[in-house]
Amino acid sequence: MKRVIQIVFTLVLGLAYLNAADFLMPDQAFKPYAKVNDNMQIQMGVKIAKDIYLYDKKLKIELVDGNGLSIANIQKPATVKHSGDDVYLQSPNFIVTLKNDASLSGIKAVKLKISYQGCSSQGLCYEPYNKIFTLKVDASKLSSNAPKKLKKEVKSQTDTIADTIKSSSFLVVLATFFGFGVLLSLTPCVFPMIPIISGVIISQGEGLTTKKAFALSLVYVLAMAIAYTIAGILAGLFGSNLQAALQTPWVVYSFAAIFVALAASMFGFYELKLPDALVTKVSSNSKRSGFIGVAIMGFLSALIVGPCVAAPLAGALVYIGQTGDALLGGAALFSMSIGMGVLLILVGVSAGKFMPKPGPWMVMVNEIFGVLMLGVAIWMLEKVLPSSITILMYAMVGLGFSVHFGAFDKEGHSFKRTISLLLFIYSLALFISVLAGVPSIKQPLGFLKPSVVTASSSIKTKEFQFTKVRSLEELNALLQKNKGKKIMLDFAADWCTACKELDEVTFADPRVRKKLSDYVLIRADLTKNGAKEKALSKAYGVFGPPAIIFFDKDLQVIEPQTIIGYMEPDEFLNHLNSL
Amino acid sequence: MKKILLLILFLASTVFADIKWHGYDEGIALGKKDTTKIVMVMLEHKGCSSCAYMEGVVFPDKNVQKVINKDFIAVDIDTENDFIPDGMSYIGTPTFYFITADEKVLFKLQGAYHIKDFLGILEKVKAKR
Repeated sequence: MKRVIQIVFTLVLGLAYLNAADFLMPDQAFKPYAKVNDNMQIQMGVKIAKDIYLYDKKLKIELVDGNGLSIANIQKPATVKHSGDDVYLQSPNFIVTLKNDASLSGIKAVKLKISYQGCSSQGLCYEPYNKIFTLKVDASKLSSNAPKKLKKEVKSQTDTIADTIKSSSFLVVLATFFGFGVLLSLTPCVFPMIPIISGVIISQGEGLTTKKAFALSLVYVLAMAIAYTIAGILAGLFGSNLQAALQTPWVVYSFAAIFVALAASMFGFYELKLPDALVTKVSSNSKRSGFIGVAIMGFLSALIVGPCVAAPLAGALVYIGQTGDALLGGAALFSMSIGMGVLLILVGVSAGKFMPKPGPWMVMVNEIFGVLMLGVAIWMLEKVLPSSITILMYAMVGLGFSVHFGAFDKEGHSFKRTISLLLFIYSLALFISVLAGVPSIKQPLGFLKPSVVTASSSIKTKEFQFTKVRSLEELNALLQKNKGKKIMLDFAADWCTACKELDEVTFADPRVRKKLSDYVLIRADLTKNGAKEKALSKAYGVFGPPAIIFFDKDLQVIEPQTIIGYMEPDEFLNHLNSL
Repeated sequence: MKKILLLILFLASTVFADIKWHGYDEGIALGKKDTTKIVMVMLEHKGCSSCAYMEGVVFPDKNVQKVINKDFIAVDIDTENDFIPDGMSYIGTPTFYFITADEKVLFKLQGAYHIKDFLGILEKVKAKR
């Protein structure tokens, strides 16, 4: 019996190394701290040394002198059971939210006391200690009925948007999302649609009035909006990865083929007003055929080109997913797509309006749009093909057309010749970069730089590296291994344009790299998007990349800090600082 | 879990009686009577899991009890309620002071130990005499 008790006790207490006689002094074992964060909340806690744990019931935070302010809420970290007591095995960090009921203003000194008691798992329990911190808090930044307002401030963008839908009236929601759409149309996500719509409208040929150009653009945008809405509602209801489903290789290949066919028709290889068999079926009515063709193009190009998972889209999806209210969520998405389309309508109308009179110019404009279409086709292939191949394609298209447009002609307008020559030189550089084995769009001849520079930069990239995971098991193993550290989990995929932007701009920023150097960086690679990858994104409620999730020391997701979509380096730095 | 703990505590409290625990002054007085014995002062307090280990596992052990009852006078000081004798500093509990009846410190021991190790320590302390 005694043996049993002994075993039980040893297990329960987990006295790991009872023989170790060197115990830490209390000031080494416990290091209390307190600081004010950007939201005027107080972060306080006790940093504990290895093998030290703290009792939850002995850990108290009290206001000694509030100077007119009082405590609204204390956010506690999670505890674990340890020999029957709730304890903190990791350094606990508390977030104290203050309130300002007396409507004071200015900087106030606040005195807070933290009391704590803990033991070493090597077999020694320390005395209770306490420490008083005096902190300066800007009272005017505190709300009187905290913590409501403060809480909202730290909510993620997605949550805020989902909340907007919940709390606002129908019209406000629609207007807000329209605004989001207009803003979205200024991001690179929408740019590939510009040559498509211009091309589609130009290809309508002669006799195109501004009115018809407007009508066509509107149809294109409406079709795009409907596509977004349907896809969005389905994704929201079924929680699937909308973007990924549309980025499977065969879909991308088919669309690239469509754009190549479009380009070919632009070059006049064959007479095809619109590249769809459906159009010829209804071609008896030539007026309608144009519209239907444009509508189909709009519908398809929305699915393929535009699904950058940006915050508003994800917000609407979260709302639909949470409430199942497909009507309001769908209406919001529709409104957003129309907002996105405003710019496209403008482009479409002007494409129609400023279309030159028939003649040799017409041929050239058609050809230019043909080149742009080929560009779009290659751009889409970037998602599924290695960059060496796509850059080679760009180079070939560029070389071919610069020569065609007269880079080496002795006649013709000097402006046209200069542009063609520039395009030729750039394309040649691209081609050389592929031959040199270092294909790059931005700096095709970057490999010519002194090797010292590349050596030092390669050292830098070595320090900055994501550990890739493809399944929940891999992720969990990695998380457990790095428990207690700061962890950033980035959902990305090779086919995700915004992820590339994050990599090339935000994560490439030296300040961001420095700040991220004390984080464990994990990348959930969703490129394949099989069952494992889907389970991974589902576990964290991610609709599609990019999404960045931060974990606290107890491996809990710091939900308000989740980032969805692209973020500029400065904003990202601020975000990191607020963690 | 709670039941097991209660059972352990119950068992602990019943067998615990096998070692006679004294107050400090009482212990010193006994030590002066029987100078062959060493006064073992244990500083502990409630809610200290390492103290609970000593009380629940080590002190109920027959061998430990035999050694202590033969050569030691056990003194228990609750750091929260009892007077702490001069010079008995500690950073945590349990902390043991092995002293002579004229309050000369022979050995200071910090922390909890397994039965085997604790027996070894007791032997070492006896050798210091």
